Amino acid sequence: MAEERVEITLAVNGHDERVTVEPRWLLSDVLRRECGLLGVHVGCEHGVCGACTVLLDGEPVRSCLMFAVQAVGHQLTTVEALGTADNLDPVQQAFWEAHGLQCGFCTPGMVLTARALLDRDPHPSEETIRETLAGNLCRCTGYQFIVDAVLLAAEKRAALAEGSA
Amino acid sequence: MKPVRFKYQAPHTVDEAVKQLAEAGIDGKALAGGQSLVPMMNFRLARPAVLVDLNGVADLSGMAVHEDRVELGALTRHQAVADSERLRHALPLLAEAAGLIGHWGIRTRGTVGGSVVHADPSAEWPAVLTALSAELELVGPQGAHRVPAGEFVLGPLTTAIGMDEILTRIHIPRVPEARTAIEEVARRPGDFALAGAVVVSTSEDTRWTFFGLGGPPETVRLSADDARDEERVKRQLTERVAALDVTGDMHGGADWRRQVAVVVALRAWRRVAA
Ligand code: FES
Ligand code: FES
Repeated sequence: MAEERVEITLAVNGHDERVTVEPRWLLSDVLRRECGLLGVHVGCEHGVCGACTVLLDGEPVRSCLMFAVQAVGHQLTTVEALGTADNLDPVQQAFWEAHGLQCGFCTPGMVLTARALLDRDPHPSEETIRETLAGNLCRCTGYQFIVDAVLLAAEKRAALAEGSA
Repeated sequence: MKPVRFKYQAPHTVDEAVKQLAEAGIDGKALAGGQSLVPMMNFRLARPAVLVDLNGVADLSGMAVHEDRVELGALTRHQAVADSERLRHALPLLAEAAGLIGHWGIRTRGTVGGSVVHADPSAEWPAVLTALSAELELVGPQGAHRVPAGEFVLGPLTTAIGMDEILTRIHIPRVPEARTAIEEVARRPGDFALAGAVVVSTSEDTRWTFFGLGGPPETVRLSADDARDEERVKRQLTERVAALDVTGDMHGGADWRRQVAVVVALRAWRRVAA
């Protein structure tokens, strides 16, 4: 079959990216290869590990289980949009302070899922955090520090919200 | 771990989708939420030459709560069911079941209709819809017809749907006096259920619909009289479950699964009997 390519526009991290893709290309690959967003980590490519998690209209999805052509018309957020090295997002800052990462492979997926959770539920219980993050595998930390990090992130966000109120 | 090349089609209407599927014949495949199909394509276990993406078909989404029934568009996402206050009120079992499916990042994409048509033996929806006597509306080149959910799944990954048909809507009767619950055992929240049971109890009878046992959902019914006390229920459930066709796998053999089935059935029953 001849290689069919289509030109699409993806709304990624607040701006439009025009890319030419084959319909079979996974969103994870297109974000990495065509958009250069290497924070989209690819672990298993079958929906098990959660490393490739991105936000689609604010909700977590596995970017290895979508074709890039399907993301047209949706707002995508990758970890690159969260903070910069000098100005971390409160969730990233909390992961740092609470030692919520070691090798960092699972971290973008963890951080984005945690961000989406806190946007929905600013004060999640520890149980909710554990259940929510059950879809993201970490082979290093043993999870406890990640749970601590999300609890700390909730505090940091509440303090910030108070400060700006 | 990338899919083979395919022709991508993105219809906007049910008619277009049906036509594209009919044209593609055996080489075509409809794509709903993709949480089962895309992994299979990534592994190249599924190699459709034509992929008909239903996500842009407006008629397949949306939910409506009526006096006597609930109607779900086949493309309703699991998370939308779990989050809907109206549904939680109208038919609490739906929201409860939706929350058990996969992980958040799976529920945001996975669809009710996709799950039913995929017919994984451990899936919640085929059992829930069977237990609630739902009807599935299928549309093909010959028009629309309805199939009772309980007759739709024929075996593991096998259903009564035609190659050129799509599931469009799911009609679920509301039985306000029925008490319902769902319980399952999985290794982590969100993993495939090793055994699960849906219970629907009315003044007439109590019915358990089992999933995760390797085949289509199986229903066991006890009269209200027989479902009075726990000892009796347990004895009868154990006998009836022993007679079911159960498949073991690396997570547990058939007999172990039967035991777990009785355990979850009793847990669910205690909640509706309390
Ligand atoms: S790479 Fe997508 S879930 Fe593992
Ligand atoms: S920090 Fe290494 S996988 Fe989580």
